[in-house]
Amino acid sequence: MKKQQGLSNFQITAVVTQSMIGLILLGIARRAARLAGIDGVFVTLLTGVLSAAIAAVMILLCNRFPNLTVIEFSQEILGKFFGRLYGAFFVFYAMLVTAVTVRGFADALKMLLLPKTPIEFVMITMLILCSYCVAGGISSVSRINEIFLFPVIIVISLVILMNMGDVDLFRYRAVFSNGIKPILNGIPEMSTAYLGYEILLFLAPVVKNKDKMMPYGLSGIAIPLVLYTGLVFVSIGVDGALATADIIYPTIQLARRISLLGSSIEKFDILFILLWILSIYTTLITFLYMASISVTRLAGLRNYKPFIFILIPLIYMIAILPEDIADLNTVVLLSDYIGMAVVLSCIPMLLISIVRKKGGKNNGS
Amino acid sequence: MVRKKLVLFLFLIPSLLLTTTSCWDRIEIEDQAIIIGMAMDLAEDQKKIVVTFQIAQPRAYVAESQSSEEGYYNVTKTAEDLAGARNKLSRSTNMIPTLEQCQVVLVGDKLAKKGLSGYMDFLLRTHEARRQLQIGVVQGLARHMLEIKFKSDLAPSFVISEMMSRDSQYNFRMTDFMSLEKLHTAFVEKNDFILPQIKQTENGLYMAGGAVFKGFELVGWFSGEEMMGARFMRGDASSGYLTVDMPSSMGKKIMLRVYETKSDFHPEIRDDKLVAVLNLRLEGDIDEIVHPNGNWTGKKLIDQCSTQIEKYVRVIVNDAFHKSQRVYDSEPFRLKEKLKCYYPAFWKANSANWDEIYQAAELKANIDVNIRRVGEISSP
Repeated sequence: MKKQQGLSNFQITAVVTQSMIGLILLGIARRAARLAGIDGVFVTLLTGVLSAAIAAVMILLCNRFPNLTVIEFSQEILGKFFGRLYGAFFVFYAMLVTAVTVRGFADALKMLLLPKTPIEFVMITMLILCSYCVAGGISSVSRINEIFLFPVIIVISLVILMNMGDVDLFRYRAVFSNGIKPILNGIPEMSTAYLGYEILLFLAPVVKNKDKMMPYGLSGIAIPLVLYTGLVFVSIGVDGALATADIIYPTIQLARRISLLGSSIEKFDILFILLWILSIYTTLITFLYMASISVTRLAGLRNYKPFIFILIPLIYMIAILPEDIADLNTVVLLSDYIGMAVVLSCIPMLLISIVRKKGGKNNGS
Repeated sequence: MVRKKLVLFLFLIPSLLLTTTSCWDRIEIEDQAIIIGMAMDLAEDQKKIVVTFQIAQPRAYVAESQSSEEGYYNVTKTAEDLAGARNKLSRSTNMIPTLEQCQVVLVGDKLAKKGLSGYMDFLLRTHEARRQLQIGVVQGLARHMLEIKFKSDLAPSFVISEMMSRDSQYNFRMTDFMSLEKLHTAFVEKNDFILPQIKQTENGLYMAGGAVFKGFELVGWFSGEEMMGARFMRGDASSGYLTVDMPSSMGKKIMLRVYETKSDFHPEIRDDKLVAVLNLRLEGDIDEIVHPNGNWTGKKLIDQCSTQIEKYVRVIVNDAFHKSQRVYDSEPFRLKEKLKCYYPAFWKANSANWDEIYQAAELKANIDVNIRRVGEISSP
């Protein structure tokens, strides 16, 4: 009997989680504290739940077109012209995210670990490494995600748990003291921290058990939700909301606080950075996969591998453009807005597909 | 085919070598000036500071080393700020200064009185310095502390750092609470704080009491006993010893070894007035009774003793609170931080009047001392 091909249930979870945990991991607490102060924990939690709801809509949409990626079924739902336009938009978004992630990664690495290594070199080697993995197809991408998932979860969990004892719980007496407004105001910006689950739009044709997309896809979102909320809770609890908002990489500072076996083992941040690099790598390969598969499908072709090597120089050029951290933040903001537009577009797309009776039982696509 | 493979091989080898990016940042340990401690004093030209760097000599720590050289040396530089002094240090040595192993920063009292806010930015901003870095204030010149020769041959920076972090777990009169991380919080939230006080003695150093800060400026000192009171209120005391005078019917003095301290210090607003409530519970064993009288295994004497210790703790807590409140106008007990969290609406309405609110605040201390054992002998 021939073994069923495709991504396993666990791989769905791993791919979704690993594509979400990336650059923002270092600064999630800063963002939460800046947006809502002491209520940052609730912004993180609530936004995670809302992201899961959007992801659920996304999965419902994908389930209507089990053998197509978003690039193909968007053309069915929106028509050829708007579908292609949407696809081009998607390609641009995936390239932009890959570019800002690799640039942000190189900048952070230069500050934290390799001050004399040119960022150009860090970016080029990382992109080459990513292209090698992506060229292996979705099976390589998913396997890498699967392998790295537990080490990443363990290290982030250690950072949370080892600092839990130093949390000043009295700080949390002030939650909701400013009403619900700061929480609601913080949700739009915080929701960009959860981006990455767009990969679900490409997974439907390659998963083994298509009916398991919903539980395992949502599990993939639940993991970053718990980890991010934990990081924000600990960071604000230890340093206070104002100080957390002032620290560029609060997660690194939390990792630095850890000393094991008395003070025999310090510099836990090095281990953390190591695992964070793996997270960046998995995010990059996922988005590079998305970009290359999107441009291939948009061109009506099947073999996406040559496109990886066409996209890499373009991505590098976008990545090298920002002159400083302020420029980079502007590009990150742009990619975040586009990302939100992409994920939110699933809701009207699902509605249109229902109204126009595209996909699902009406269409054997 | 073979030739093709050879060309590929020759291309791959240098390409792979290029991927060893960390080589760019490789620094041999012998090339590093590993700063293990720093002392900052005010220079004669009051716009400048004198910074003494204590630098480790890794060679001296190698077990097989036959070298008789000391494990450290001190370098002093005068500059406008800490970053300037560090730059001067790097210009005067063939090694690269690094703060990654820096254990302690000592500040002279004159500089502390002038204010620390102008000198903290470098330490807070650089990723080299650990957030758990210890900071202490020296009565006199801080650099003298780094020149003390200890019998253990350990570098003064290590001794001071270990005293701060380890001994403060067993001694109520010392504290390691305010690390660089906590200073950052105090800096952004504009909180007052206490740093450990260090004095030089003939044979070494003496660490007890605290340097009280308001607005990042040293405003006064706490004695060892006041420090105990402050720690009970701040909630960072764990275990230590209390020595209390006793009525002659019981003995002369008694020493209680406290092995558990539970402190709940919180604000309460009663009739629009701030009341600082301290619920303190101490649990311990009697370690020594000087000239004991009576049967110490009897309930009555133990209860009387608990009452005496309660009175003593109440006095030191009150002394610390009122000295800080009335003499120094400083609030280093985290009352302000807690008021913001316990009564956010009250804080919003009255934050501009914090000084008046604090000055009018009352302390209500509920102290509960539990003596569990009287040692291994019972006889007077």
